[in-house]
Amino acid sequence: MKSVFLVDHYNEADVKPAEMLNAYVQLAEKNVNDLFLRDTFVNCDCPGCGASDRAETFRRFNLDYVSCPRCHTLWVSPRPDDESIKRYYANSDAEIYWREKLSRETALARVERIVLPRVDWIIDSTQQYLPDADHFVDIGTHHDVYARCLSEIGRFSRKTLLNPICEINPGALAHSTNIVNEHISKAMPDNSVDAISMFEVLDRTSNIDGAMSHARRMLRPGGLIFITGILSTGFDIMTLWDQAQNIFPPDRLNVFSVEGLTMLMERHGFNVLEFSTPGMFDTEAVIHAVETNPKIQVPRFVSYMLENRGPEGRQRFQEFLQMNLLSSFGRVLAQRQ
Amino acid sequence: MSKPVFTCGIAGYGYMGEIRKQVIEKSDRLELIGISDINANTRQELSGCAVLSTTDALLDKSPDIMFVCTPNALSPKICVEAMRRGIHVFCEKPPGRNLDDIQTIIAAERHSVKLMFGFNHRFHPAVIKAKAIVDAGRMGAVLNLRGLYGKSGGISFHNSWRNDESISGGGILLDQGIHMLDLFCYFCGNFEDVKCFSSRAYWDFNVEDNAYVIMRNSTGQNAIFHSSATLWKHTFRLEITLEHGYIVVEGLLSKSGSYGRERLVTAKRQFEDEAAAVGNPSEEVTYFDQDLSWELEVNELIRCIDEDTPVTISSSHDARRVMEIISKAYLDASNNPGAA
Ligand SMILES: [Zn+2]
Repeated sequence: MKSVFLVDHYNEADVKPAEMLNAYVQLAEKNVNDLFLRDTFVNCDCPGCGASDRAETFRRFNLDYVSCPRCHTLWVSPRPDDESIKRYYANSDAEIYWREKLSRETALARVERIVLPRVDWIIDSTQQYLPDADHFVDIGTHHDVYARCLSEIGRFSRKTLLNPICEINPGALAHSTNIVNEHISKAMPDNSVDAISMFEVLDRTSNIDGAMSHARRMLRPGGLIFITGILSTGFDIMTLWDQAQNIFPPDRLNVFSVEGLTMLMERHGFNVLEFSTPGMFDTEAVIHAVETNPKIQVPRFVSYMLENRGPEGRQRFQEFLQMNLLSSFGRVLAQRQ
Repeated sequence: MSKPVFTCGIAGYGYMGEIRKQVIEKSDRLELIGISDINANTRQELSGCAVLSTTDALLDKSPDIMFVCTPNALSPKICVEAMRRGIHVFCEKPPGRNLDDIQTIIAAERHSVKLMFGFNHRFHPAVIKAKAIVDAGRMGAVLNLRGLYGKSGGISFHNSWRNDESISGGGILLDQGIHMLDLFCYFCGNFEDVKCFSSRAYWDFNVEDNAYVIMRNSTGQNAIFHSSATLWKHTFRLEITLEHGYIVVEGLLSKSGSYGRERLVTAKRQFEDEAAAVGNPSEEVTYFDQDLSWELEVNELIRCIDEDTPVTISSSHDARRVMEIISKAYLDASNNPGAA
């Protein structure tokens, strides 16, 4: 197993300007209250380790987050089902704002800082672990600019975008790319796929075990799965907890811990090859939260460090978090056994 | 159907023989049937398989695979005899003392037996990853390589056969530097032009304790390497400069941990529109926690036997190529005033 960290120099504001993010969160809160019908909600055990024990934690947008005493995963239960979530992403004002405003205005920075490094990650890892890989499937991509970059990965001769959340103009994609809008349970024959990416998809999936077992089913033995998501065990989430700005439904229905996500992969027959937390914004997120809301209490040590160690010290602290699997952005590469 | 188990013999039970024993015992495809060692005290410490005083006695047991872990001067004869008897051979590096030795081994090669050499650095996790990135092509062609590999010697360094030219055939460049030169060839094919200075800077023995090698190949790639037995801090560092970025392998997972945590640094060059970042690009650093190099290289040999395909990684071709470079380096160094 190996872990990765990044030495880079950019701010969260480059990819998520604070004002736009606030507008998005406000819309999301309203939409969640309006669009999800509570009588259709389903109860859910820990999506990481599967345990039924849970501790109450906090409410966001009138939905309850609970946490797992065994693996520290944080999740919403009861929760909307996948059908309702799909409708939300198709129709909500929040999602339309994200797609048409936030995503577009930050497109350049997103491509350079987020998308292309992930494309490189897929290319290099496939070359290493499955050099004869041919068919690549992305599940649930969120941005058309993302879809375009994925479609241009030259090392796969066949590419499929399965259930993209955004509307994609097929003409903008490379010729070898198909768009498939079928439910994951019906799409793709068994053992027909060499590599899958699910970028921040597990975070907003209601039936996690269903999604994982179908991902496994469609992958050939030895096939690769690339996953990213927000982790409950990251510094900013652990520090800010109920005040963490980016934890809300349905974007973060599941917030896995490092241990919980590892257990999820293993109990679905995957061998974890790489687990990294190359996040860059934990420290910045805590500073931002404290600055904008002076009522937020953080531990004395954290408050002292952030006030007195300057940008370089904070950067080194962020690198420490990355190196020790303590940032809240997680990246996992696993192989179907 | 379960795959066959191959019986194994180990010739020479020193540092490497011990590692090979562990690898064989861990594998469910290999069974250790005997070890030979010239030293009676060493033999006394061994149990669990036949323990013999001569390699011939071990060869008489007809193992499927012979692991040759003897000093350089003895390896060629054992390899040749094993292959003559139809036994597959895994030979530690260096493949003999000099070019003549490896040519003797190659002359005895035959189609029905597999011959592989212990260039295990190719199987280190950071090197595997680096090779995958280079092969993936997104960074463009390799422009040049820089290597630094060295150790500090130690109390037993003086008495080691590794520093007795009549047994080893050379000093630190042949003993340890050979791994780096093999990696250079792994990434760039071959280097035909070889220049070298060497010195006996500190240790008082009849082989070099430092070598400084500069090389060029027919495609115009250049490489520079410092091999040292006076690096008081143990160091392994391989820098690969490509058209669109660079890769650095630093540290090596090892039994002692003295080369530091193995890591791989990659970065893309940044020119345009990045005034603040010119010459200081964002880097991605990968840390590795598990060294499976010993197991992986032996698994590769097993695969070649299973599938009856030629050995293509750490083959006799690779061994001869790197011995040619070392031979040219020693020749060039001997032509320079003050050389070892
Ligand atoms: Zn759990």
